[in-house]
Amino acid sequence: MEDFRADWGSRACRLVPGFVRPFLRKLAFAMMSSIVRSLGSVLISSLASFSFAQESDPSGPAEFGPAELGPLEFGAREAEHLLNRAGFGAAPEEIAHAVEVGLEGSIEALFSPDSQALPRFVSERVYIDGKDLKVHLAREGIPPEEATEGQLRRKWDELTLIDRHQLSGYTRLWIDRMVRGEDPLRDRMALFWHGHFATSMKRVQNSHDLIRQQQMLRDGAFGPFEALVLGVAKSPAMLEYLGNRANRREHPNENFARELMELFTLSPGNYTELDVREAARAMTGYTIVEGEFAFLKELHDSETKQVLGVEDDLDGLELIKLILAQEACPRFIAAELLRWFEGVDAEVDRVEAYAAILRASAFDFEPFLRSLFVDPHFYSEAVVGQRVAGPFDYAVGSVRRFGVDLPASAIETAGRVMGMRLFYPETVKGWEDGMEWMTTSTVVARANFAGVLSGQLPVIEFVRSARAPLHASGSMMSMGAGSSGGADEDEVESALLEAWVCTYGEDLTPSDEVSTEELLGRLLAVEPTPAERAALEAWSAAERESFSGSAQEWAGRLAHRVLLLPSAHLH
Amino acid sequence: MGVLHLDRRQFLAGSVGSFTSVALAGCSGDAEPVRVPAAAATERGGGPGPCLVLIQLTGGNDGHNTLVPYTNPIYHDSRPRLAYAESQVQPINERLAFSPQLLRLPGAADLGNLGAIEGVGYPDIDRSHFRSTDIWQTARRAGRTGPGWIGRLMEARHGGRTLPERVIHVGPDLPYSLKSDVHRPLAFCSEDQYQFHGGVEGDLIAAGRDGSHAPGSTRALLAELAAQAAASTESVRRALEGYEPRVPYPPNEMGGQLRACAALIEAGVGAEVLSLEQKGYDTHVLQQDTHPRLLLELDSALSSFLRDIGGRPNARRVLVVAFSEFGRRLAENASVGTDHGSPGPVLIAGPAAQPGLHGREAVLEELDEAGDPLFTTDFRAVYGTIARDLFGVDPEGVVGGRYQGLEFIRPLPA
Repeated sequence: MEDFRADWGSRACRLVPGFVRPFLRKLAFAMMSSIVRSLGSVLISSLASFSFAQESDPSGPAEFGPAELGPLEFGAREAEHLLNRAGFGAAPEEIAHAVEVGLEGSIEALFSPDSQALPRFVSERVYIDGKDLKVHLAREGIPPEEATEGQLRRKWDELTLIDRHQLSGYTRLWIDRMVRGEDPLRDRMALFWHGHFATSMKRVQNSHDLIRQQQMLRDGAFGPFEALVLGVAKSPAMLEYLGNRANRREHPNENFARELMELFTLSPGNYTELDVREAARAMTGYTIVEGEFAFLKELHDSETKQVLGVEDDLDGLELIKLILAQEACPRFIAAELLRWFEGVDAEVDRVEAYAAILRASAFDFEPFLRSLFVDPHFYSEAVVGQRVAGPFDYAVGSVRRFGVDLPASAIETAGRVMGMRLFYPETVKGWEDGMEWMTTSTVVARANFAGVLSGQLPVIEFVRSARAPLHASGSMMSMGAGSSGGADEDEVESALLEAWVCTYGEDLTPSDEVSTEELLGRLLAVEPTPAERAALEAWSAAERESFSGSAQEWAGRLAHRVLLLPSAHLH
Repeated sequence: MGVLHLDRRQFLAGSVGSFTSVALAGCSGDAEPVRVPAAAATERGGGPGPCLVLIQLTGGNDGHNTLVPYTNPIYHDSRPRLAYAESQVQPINERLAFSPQLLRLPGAADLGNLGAIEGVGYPDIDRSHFRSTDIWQTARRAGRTGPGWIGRLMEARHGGRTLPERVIHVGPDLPYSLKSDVHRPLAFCSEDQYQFHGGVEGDLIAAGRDGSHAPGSTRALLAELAAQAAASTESVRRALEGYEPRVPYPPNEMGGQLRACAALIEAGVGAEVLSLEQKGYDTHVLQQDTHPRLLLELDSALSSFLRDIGGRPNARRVLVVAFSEFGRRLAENASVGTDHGSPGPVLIAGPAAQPGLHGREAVLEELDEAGDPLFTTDFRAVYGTIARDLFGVDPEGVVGGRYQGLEFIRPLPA
């Protein structure tokens, strides 16, 4: 990927160290004093040899190398934190590697991933409307004029199923990428945008449009923001989801215009109800024709509108440019991104400082992220290990730390029962975060997923119970849930054993205290509390007496318990 | 269409009123116990406990096509394609009727206990789904801070005496209404999903619950939640697996959820609030493809539930309340749908419900600048009435003010 856009600054700025230099340079023009305040003393002191007077001179030489970052320690704690938050967790070996290459090397790796080896998912339009059903039937030799109601129904059911499978295919490929960690930061950002510009299969009913939108968000994950907002405004999935496809001059439909300002760009309090109604007029005529975006002038209201204090005959593009130029926009997006990566609401000063970075870079997210990843606050006690892991932090993170090869479908299911069904957000607001992930229901779901990971519960049983509707118990029992066996079970168990043997060798003994410590270190992203450690030891001491299985089996049971500890939900 | 700007105070004036006996006692500040209405007092004496079945109709239910002003020409003029004809609806009086989907199932109308509170809203309505939902769920303008209104209700009623199954949400997304750090809601989706597999007991999952985690810390909260799950999976499974409903439930999501509610009520697990959510009411486009289906699902599931629990001793104080974050615009839009509007009706049902119409008459002749009728009943008056007449607690602490009490809860027979 190209590091910086042409308008970002001279190439010379990108020499050593690539990320700090342009960041400081831009700041010289922007909110210098507030970023100085907000970035805290560590980074500041690290740059002490390099006065801020100098920074205000954009042409000044800046010959300071990576060593200048010295005071910002980058040990295992920081490395693991970076890999947790910028990616989806890391095994001890990956953490050790990150420490070895250092902070700068680790950041560079995030922005220039080793491999894009996984193939690009190519989706197809399965159908648009009833007309397509006839086209499909014609391929089976049924002439359109002879198609019966029953045949059309059957074809519709068939295509609906195919459509869902296509979406599942993309979802699993995405999960697979998270697990492999080939381009973790991009996938982390893609997940952010997935919730930020939420659209749901439930209403869109068209996997091709959802996949295309998500691919657009992933490709443009690092900005510029304007391209994303425009892309979403023109995305058939969003046009369908928020109904703008039916927004026309005579009776504007306010839905997209409202969410555009409330959720996508400004946040409440930064526009009025009148702005919503007037913006809706600017968005009239943006619709779908034959499954593709179209702007239909005859449906567009070209009269004067009054939006955000501007009086003009705005169209959709001009509206979006006007909105993005509001002070509130970079502030809102900066706050959202800081919360996404840090897990807590950032102080006003820091939001302002990061908003300034967005403004200065025309909403390019790379300088923003490079700044964040060297920001001492990002590595502070208030942030590290303090966030409740989201469903994919927990599921993918555990898989990565464990080194188990689990089918992506199981992780997809896990995400769903833990509260995050990809491509099916419950509302246009996307998902909540933090403690909001945790209910009695998701606690149980996580415990069961931990059972799958550690070989204590067959995948098939996990998936089956996760899909069980209310009052299905009778039939579930008769289907033999709980019985052992099944291909999935064997598959996971053997993968687990393999991973164990690889990590600990053949001679792991059940009484090996070190293995408990190692397990805690490997499986948890945070340090367990003494009480947790004591509880685990007590359990282990009581159970070991009566346990007669192999060392690996014992380790599996122990691993299951480790993943149940309250600390297992933090990262 | 005439659009009038009315002084909001005219409408607010009606909301400040009684709860006299309770509110005064609550304000007195001395150690005297709060006087509670007779009905609620009786319940505490060992009768059937109160149970609120709270249904959130998410997305903004179109109140005008739920409680239909079928004789009003303004309704018909505003909705050339969406208005129900007089011949389709089920009149309650000469002014209002239930939509064609409600009271549709055979026998449901005979139950006679479906009612509605008209024109429910709040001043300066926020037409954002999320903000308005927050306001309804917390009964606070500021939205998501502190407990939800059910949380406050339970704290007022039970103080610190908790029970894992006291507040239960059936479904995937826990509403903020139930939020409480004291009376934490139990949430589950299905009895099969709500089971620990792989030999997990309540052992390590709540490690450190003995107070070794810092109070209020994330770990402490996680341990509490885990302990609650470990303590309730069995009771939920037993209640649901052994339950034999007296009538079949429709095979839709809400049917399953209300059947689970009936099972939990019958099992006597101590649930006082059962919560569920029906999604999909955000009908901006081609409303007639979705709204009737949703109301039909609601009606069919609710009808079964009412017939199932009717006459069961444990269910004598069950009150069903269905609300939405706002109503929809009176005028239809170009997409044959409706945009976010202002007030809407709250539906009530169940053995503890007083059927018929409640609240002040909502009028279509006076609309606000967006083209919505003005609200006539503050939703906090609805909550306050539930607090006072169903749960026997001082409403003021629950809703944060005094509102005119309503009469939609049937007194418990002496």
